Amino acid sequence: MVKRSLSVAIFAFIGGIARLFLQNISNNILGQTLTATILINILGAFLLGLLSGGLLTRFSPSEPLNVGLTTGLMGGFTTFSSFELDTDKTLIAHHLGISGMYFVGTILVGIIFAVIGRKIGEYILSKGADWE
Amino acid sequence: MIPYLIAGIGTSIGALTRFYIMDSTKNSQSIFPWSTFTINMVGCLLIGICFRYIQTPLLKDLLIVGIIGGFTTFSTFANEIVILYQTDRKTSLLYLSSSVILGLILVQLGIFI
Repeated sequence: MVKRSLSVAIFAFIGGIARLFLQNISNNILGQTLTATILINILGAFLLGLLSGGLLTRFSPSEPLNVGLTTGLMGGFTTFSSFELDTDKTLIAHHLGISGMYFVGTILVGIIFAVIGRKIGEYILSKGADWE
Repeated sequence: MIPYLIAGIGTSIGALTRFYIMDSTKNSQSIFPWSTFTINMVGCLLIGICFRYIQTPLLKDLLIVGIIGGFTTFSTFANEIVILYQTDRKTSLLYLSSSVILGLILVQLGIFI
């Protein structure tokens, strides 16, 4: 449990910093962080799908590394609360179009990319079985 | 540099809390992902409250970006929907819609409090 906790903490540290970094870049270039948060959540959904869909089974890393990459890195990188807060903020500001696109877009594209990630993960897993 | 360090530490705290909750409820019999659901809903309420009351930049980095951002998770949420959809479409869609709608209500409630 100590090793797993340490792994989650370290990977989450990296995930959180990566998230803030991307949001800052987006803020500096585009003047808002919505674009970064969309990309973060979609990329995270895809990568977690890839990992848990087959990649982790294929390469069977140690339990601490496994939970560090999924719960720590991907969980720490993506954020549900900011997504909902952003939706609420744009809604309150009466930017209905942006709010709706952001809300539906994140959910829909996030789920689609989770599916794609899982499919690729499954493919890698099946190919791996062929090689052996 | 400091904001990144603060946000990183906060994310670690949030993710560890999530990890312990998920780990202690992993033997749950329910097919509805109650753990992630509860985590994300609590996070939504808390982020609403913090958004209203916290103005200090570093405290925002620690609480909003870090602890609450790291506590809640979109990646697990999206993947649970996909997995659940393969066995139980209704519950999957219920999980999806209740999370995103109740989440919005809780954010707004947090801002009101």
